[in-house]
Amino acid sequence: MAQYEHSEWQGSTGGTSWMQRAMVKLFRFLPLSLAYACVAPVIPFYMLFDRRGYRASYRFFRDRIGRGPLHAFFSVYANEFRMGQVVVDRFAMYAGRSFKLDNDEMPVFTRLAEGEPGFVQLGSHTGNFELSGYMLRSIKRMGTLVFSGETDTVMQQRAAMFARNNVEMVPVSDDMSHLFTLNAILSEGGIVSMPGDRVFGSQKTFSCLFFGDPAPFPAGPYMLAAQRSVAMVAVFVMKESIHRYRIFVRQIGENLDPALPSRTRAQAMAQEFAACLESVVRMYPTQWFNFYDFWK
Amino acid sequence: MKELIEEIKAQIISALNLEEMTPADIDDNAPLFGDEGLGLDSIDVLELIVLMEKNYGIKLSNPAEGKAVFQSVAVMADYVSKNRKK
Repeated sequence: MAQYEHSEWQGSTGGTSWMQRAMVKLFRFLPLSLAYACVAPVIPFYMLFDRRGYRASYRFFRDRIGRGPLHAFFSVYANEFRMGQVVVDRFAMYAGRSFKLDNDEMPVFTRLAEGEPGFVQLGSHTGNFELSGYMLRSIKRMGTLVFSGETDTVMQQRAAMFARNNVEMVPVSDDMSHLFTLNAILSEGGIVSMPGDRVFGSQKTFSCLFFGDPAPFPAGPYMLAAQRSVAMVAVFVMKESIHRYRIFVRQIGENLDPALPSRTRAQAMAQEFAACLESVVRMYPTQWFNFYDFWK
Repeated sequence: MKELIEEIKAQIISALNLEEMTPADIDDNAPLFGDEGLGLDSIDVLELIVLMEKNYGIKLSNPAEGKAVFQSVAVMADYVSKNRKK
């Protein structure tokens, strides 16, 4: 059975624009637990009809997490349900709700955010990284890379939320103008936020050991940090309970020799990020939201 | 100008690890990006942006200007000669 590859996987939020607007209005008064309860019966249909996504998720739990067939089947359900919860939480945030964020690892982020140089912040398709843009506050200018393909509703809600935290969206564009914007933000001492696990724009990748096998990670984010010799942090925002998330912040490439060539440092940073991502995903396997064959 | 063009070609080869190429292999006026010419991509743009900043003190923050500058080595050299701070 065919599966999505890196370049095919869009990962955009489902639903039409008016449906999403209705959800934002609904979540102003609808309890989260009730919203989750509405998600639960929908999941079997996703499992039944999105066969490629189901297959990728099932193989992830069988081959990477090492679960038996029945356990893997129920894990796919849990995986899809978590994804539904995360989407609900995003719309709840758009509607003005807030979540408790356990952030005992914040000193790393705070130290960098209060320092003069800019840095790169890496996210991933695990947990609810988007919440970091709404909940991590910094006086620095932050540019966050976003992909086209989302509806106007999602983009407008995101822009409104980000604006409160000094965050601006930088859309990926075919003419590469986003690179100049990101570079300018970094050179002015700002923060650039981008996914560390998604191949976009350039097809250049670093092959990194991930869950026991080589997997392609995008070269861009690591090259950007290595070329500019700026710090890099990986941020993971993982769902713990209905109203609570835990944030993990890891500095990447802190102990690398700055005299090494930039490509060598970038490759090492990509591998370090892959190791961090794996350790977090092993703690929260049902919050792995790359529904395609990540290793292909 | 010819010297500057050769200098930029050598810097591009070094920055982008184009070990199999020599400056003579790069046409002064060939497009740097796309299927023709050098065929560079967005990762390489980052290298060129840093190259311009480190070697010539030129900060390219305006996307429209940046895209115009990276049309070809000849255009880059012309821009460097007019705007260099180092």
